[in-house]
Amino acid sequence: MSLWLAGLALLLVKIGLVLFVVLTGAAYLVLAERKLLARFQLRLGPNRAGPLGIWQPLADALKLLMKEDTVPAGADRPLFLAAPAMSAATAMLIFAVVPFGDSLTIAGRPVPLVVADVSVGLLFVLALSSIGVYGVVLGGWASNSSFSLLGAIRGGAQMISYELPLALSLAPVVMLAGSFSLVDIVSAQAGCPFIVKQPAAFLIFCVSALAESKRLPFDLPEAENELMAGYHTEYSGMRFGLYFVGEYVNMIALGCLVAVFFLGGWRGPLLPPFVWLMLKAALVPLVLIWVRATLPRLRFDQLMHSSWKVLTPLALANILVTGGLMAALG
Amino acid sequence: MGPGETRLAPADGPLLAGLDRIADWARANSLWPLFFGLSCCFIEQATAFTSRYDLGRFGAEVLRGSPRQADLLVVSGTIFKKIAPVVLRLYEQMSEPRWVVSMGSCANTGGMYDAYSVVQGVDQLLPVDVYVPGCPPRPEALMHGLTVLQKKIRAKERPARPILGLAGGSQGSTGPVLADGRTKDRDPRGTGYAGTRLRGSSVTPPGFAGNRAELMWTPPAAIYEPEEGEKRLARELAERFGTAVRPVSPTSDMPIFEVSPERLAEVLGHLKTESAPRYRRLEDLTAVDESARRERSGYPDFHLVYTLTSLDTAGQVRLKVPLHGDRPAAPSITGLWPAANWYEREVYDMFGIGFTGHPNLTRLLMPAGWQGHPLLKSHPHRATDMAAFTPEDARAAEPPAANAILGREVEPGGMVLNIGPHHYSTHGIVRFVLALDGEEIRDVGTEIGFHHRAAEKIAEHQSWHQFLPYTDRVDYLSGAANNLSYLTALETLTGTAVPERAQVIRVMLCELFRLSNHLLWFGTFVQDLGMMSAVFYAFREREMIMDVVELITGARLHPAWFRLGGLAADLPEGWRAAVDEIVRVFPGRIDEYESLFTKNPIFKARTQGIGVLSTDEALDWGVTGPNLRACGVSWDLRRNRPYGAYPAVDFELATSQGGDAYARYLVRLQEMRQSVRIIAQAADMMPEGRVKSADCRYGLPDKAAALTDIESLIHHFVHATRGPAVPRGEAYAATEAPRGEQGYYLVSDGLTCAYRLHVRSPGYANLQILPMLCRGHMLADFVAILGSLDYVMPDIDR
Repeated sequence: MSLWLAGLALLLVKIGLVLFVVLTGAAYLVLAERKLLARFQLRLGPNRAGPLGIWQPLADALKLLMKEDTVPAGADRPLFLAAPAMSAATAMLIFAVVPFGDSLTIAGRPVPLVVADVSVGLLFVLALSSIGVYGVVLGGWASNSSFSLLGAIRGGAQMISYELPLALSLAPVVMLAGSFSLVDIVSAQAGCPFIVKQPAAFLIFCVSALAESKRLPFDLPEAENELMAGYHTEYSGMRFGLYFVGEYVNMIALGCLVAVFFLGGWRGPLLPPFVWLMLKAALVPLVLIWVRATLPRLRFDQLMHSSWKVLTPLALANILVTGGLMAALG
Repeated sequence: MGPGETRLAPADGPLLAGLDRIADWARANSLWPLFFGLSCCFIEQATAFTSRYDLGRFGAEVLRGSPRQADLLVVSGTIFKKIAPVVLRLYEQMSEPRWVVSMGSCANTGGMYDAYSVVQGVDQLLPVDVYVPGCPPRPEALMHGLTVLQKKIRAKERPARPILGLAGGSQGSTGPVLADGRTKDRDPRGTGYAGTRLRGSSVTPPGFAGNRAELMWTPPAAIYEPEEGEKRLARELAERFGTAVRPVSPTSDMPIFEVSPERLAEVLGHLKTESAPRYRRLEDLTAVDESARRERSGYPDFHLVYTLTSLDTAGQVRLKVPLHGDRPAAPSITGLWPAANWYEREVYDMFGIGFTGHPNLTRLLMPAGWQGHPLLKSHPHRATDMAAFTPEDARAAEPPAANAILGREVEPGGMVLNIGPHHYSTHGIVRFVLALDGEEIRDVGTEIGFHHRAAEKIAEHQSWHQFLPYTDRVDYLSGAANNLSYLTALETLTGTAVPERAQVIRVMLCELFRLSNHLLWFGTFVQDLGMMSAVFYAFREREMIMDVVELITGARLHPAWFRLGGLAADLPEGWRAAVDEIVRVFPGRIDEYESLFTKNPIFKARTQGIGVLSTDEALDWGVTGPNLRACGVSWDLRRNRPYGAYPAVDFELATSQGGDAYARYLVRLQEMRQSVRIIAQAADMMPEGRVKSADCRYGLPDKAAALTDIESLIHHFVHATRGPAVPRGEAYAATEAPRGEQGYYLVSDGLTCAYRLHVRSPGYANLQILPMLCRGHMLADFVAILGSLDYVMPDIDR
């Protein structure tokens, strides 16, 4: 009984820690993006709220929390209220299966540094990203506005199209690791990170993940120059904030997944495992910000073409080649 | 809390007072502005976000396209009666709390636009927190406005109670909405002038009876000597049409023929397709209300005025059609030139003249419910002569339905999407209605007139000199280039010669503004395609240019620095070093831009083959400027009908093939390189001498001479007070402004103001072709096409 209670307490502590780290990370990722974009654009960026602007995320979050929560007349109220949470929650849930390090030993018992080592962790991740689509589609549809609707349609089509190459690009990883568990996948990279064995899969995953994250050059669902704010045009206050949080948590999640699937997860010399994971996970958001400052946006049909005519066939070919090589080399 | 701020004493306990302070701190540091701009001021507002000013430092760079997510409405520009309902609606769509900064003289009070179409201050519609003065205010002024608002939030608001849903407290804008004439002075000069007459109102439009300028002798207008071909044309027309076509003589700028309305279509058809030379382009179509002529008997009630251009000889011809009666009609020529569509609608809107056979003769510029026709001499000039505009008026003015703009019903299964009047990609206030099938565009409808500042009516009561600052604001991105178009026409009419040095300086300034305009176009065009950083690079260079413009003219956007017969002043010390720096730095920066886009596969995929305009269409629709040259047509007024110092400089005409958005991009980048060349040559060749014509019959004399020489003193006094009287006559002149051919048609009745002034704007013709370019493309292409056309709304709506 006491063991069960201790287990529950440990779990809650782990969840609390992960959420704290992730949400703080997301808040400061926003600041980092604003500062970096400013640098790319020959500016300084926020530096007035606190020294060097470090309290800027706090000011923004508080402001959003205290802003009027508008629900437009004609909106589908329950869906409108619920949709932003789906975006944020699915992004955060991904961290349930991300291993932050090897097991620790506390009081003689091994404590794995993961909230839940699910045996089908990889499928869980893919499932969550599929559910994340609903946040965009339902939010846009429930708003009862033309721009929102167009954004929702774009979002739905885009995210479903890119799920395919995203999932297919991970098949060789599973084949190499022999498991769907993220913990096992990290273990399988003890010798050599998968990016070396699977460069093609890495690239396909990164591009698809970029599209899944709905950021430039794939930010069509909210393309401001075309749709003002796309699917979240009608959202204000913290509900809009939740979409914002979801986007940035998602960026960190993608960073963690790239680290876990291709860069050897928490493995690395000298530094503690958690630091290694965070360093590797920071790579993706930084590249995403850089790309955002650099590239123009694709058009809807061009976006679809690149998924169906380029990435998906490439990912399929990659599976065949990997399988063939594995069979040939035994 | 900054130094020197005093907070309201807390009325609540420590908990609520603490929440007050936290909320105020958070809100002051996180003021996200709505992406919203009306006119010139918006350019300076946008500049405030760029590197030299960086509003982002205050946490205020998160521009929101959706009013729901914005905290701050910066009303930057003129509030037109037609756009007022939109401004009010956007404000009401913003979530609480919300704040309003009124930026610039127009938003504050109507500014220099006390005109029938303009609301005399946004505070008649919305509560305003901070007023930022200036026309336009500099970016620093807006930054100051923002910090003043931050102080106000921190010191004067107690938001804890409204946040917790309790009674009391305060947050957001609470100021009263003012009522024009009751809680706010209607006098355009401000308060304290009650009982005294407006200056100049002893002689009032339209008749100006008792104008003392009549007592002064003026020489006749300049006389144009027709070329051999034009004399032949006159004989040809006389043979063919007999008395239906009557040559007018003498003229000041081009051959003029008076044509009877019955034979009009025939004559125009002959000139377009058969005559030698052929006049391929309908350059302009407008009208004149002749009812206030001082010698009334010599004139009909109206003249319709058609200006045609021959692309073979670069010659022009003007046809004038006399009309009689209150609401006369003439045959529509939309069958001959489809481009006549908007021009005829505008004449109908402004004068009430009908056009039989026009496909859609409805109002173009004025709102649908407008009473009267503004350019009739009997229509009021000033907003302060009309009933005050109230929020109720704004609410009552519902915008026309989308189908009415589109001109037809949308087929079942299709979708109607309104883009504008306020939208990221509209580059000003204009409304597009898209009929979509999925993301594919079936048809586009355009509603313009939101930015109608009544410049043409204002010219009829401001003296010839006073009107000059209004020209800067016609195409507010091209500054001095506007001055030149207006003055070229005026100098043609008065026969004023401009000294060589002044001409070279004018060319230098105009090319600087061409650079500045193309830079802004480049930055916003690639931003429309989603590339968000290049606009900051473009503005870095634009600031360099603005610095030089400011050094030379003392102003940034609106120099109003050219004068009839020359310039306001000579070049200041240090101009050469500043210009040389631009010439040195610029080519490398253009290379930098090109390296980002010219070969970028995404950029090419987004622009190549998008919005293709054929050469024939471009000529038929009167498209000019870079958009025309992108179709492979080598036509540029600087080369084909040279004016000023352009014959003396060496430059290549930038042309490209294909007529798509990519070609338009290439042409403008190439033009920037050529502009740098012209600027370098102008600086090198800068001749010595006067910068103002020695003949001050019309132009202002040297101020220094006015202090020593009685003739100059008299002229200075007369020209600076009631202004010079310009001889009776008319003239049209166009120059190659940055976005195409901008022409001014001036009619004088021998008085100190124009009898009629009409602006032939390049954007008007360039935007009218939009539906043709968009059909069959996708929604994202629409944005790319709009951006590639490079228009600016006051140039279209005037």
